[in-house]
Amino acid sequence: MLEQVARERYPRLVAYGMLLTGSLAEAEDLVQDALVSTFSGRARFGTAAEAEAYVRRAVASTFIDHGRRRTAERKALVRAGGRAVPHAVEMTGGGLAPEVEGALARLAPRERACVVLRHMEDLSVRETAQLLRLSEGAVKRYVPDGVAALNATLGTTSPSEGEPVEVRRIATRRARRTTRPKEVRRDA
Amino acid sequence: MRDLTDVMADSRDARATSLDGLRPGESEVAGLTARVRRRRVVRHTVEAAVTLPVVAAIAIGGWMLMGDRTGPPPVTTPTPSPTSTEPSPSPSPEETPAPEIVLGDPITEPGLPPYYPMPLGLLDRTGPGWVLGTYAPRAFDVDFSRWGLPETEVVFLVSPEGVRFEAARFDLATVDGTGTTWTEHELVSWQAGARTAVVQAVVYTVVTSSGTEDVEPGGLMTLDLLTGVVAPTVGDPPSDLGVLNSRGDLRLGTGAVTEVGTGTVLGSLDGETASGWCEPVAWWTADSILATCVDDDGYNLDIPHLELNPRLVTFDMAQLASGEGVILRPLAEGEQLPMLWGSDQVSDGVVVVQATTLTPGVLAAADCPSGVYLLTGETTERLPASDSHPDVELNIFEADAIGRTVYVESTGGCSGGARPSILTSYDLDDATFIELIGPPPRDGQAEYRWIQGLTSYVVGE
Repeated sequence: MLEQVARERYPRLVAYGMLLTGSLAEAEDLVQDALVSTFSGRARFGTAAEAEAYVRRAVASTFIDHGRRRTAERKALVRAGGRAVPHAVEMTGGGLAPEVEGALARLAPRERACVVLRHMEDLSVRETAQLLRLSEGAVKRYVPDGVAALNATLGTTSPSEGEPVEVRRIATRRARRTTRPKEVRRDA
Repeated sequence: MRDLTDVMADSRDARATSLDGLRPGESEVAGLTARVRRRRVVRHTVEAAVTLPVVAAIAIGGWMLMGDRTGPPPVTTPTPSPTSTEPSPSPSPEETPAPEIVLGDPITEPGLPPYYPMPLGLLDRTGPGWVLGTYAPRAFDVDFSRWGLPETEVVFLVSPEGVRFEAARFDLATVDGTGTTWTEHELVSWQAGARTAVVQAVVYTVVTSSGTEDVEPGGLMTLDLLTGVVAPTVGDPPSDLGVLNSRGDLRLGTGAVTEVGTGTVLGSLDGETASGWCEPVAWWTADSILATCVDDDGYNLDIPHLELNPRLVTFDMAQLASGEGVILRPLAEGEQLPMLWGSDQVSDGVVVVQATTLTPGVLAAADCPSGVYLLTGETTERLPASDSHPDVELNIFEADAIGRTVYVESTGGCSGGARPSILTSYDLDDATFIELIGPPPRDGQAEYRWIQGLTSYVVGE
């Protein structure tokens, strides 16, 4: 299954990662780490689509973890007298993808991850908080701020937080079906 | 005005299209595989359907002592009588009279199915058909918000009749002082009758509040089944890179068949082929594979399976290279479509598969297996492991055919939550169905809390 997902789902996963990183190289690193994380766990998948949904969540979680490491590295550089290098965002070509990736890149990483998980994966505030190791209050702050900034930049609209986000895509339905240790609900 | 969610999804799709063809290299995939040891989500079930009687007796025939191990040892089905009068199979007049081991009451312990202490001398008299299983019971915490941690890991020795004996035990809570890191042992191989088994150590670390666990596969170890002592051994951990054919000279991986030794790729079902979008199921013969094919990439389309004209297709190596296989039979409503993984070849033209029952309107991407089936060119037979716990939805089935016995680990998780799995055996010749290792029994709580019991198993070679 790992091989299948790595080969067949790679472009979609990397594209998803680019929403978070804006960088192809970083997105590939992110996806590969997420693949290892996912397939090292106990979860088992009936289809590649299920595995892909699981990996997407791991991508977001890993992105935040990478961010934590980058922050620590930057602090270490500052302490050592070096210069912190800002996170690079590739803005290649035209079209929708660079436009959206660029808008997302202007958000703080945590805002970005929260918005992506809430709107692309249809996760609840609590699920988002657990996955990213943030407080629910932080997620409630990050998402409206991030959505407002994106709407202003992209000229889009979105239901206000607190209202259910309509499930629009099969991908999000697949994500709901994916079992994940420690995220199993009482009614599961 | 555009909707933000739609715009983000369209952006991702556009980016994915622009990246079409991007693939990790072979070395990268190999590197990923090497880092990964997939563990299993297991599935809820109710209390074991098969309960052991108060007293059981095991008669071990002298034929075992004489080295005849062509069949499973003659362990009597547990009976209410204190001793067994069952004769051991095929004794000759010269054989030593069968010694008997009389068991007392089975031990009941929270989180574990009933079991017996392992009698002295039992281990070295086991034969093919005996099973080793690791069992690490795990439950939700009191408010069902997250998994509790496993505290104990027991290695069970299980007779072909489903009588369990404790061979070894590890206290997982004492691995370190943090309570968030522990080491489990996955069974890798065991020669029936041998005192030792090969296991792989796997270190788990809870990432606090993230909902994840870091899993670090370790090296191979030798487990002494009499003392419970583990010691490092030499060798590489097993790889999940595919299934060998019956001759052992070809390997079926994810869509591709390679030659063992040379690594030469003989053919692949990657992407669209002349036979449609196909996925391998199992070896059909030593030189051909069985696959399922549909008209379009069902995973990426909002289209029901039935509308994609699913069919069973076989490919020999030449056909695999060209992508043009032979249709074995089309599949219609109500028939079973094999799903990826969990399948095994029984003999030429006979495979055991997990499959979904084709139902109008069910999307290809949303299907879960409905059972485990014995499939031939003409017939499909539902096996009893599909319904071993009828009040629990089992929707993942991993089959392992050894001779004419099919071992199935039935579990859930394709939809719904993680629950314990059930290991059963089914003799294809005499239709004997046995639960070998069940889930943790109910513990008096109003709601079933157990989410894990069996974690790995091997059938004695």
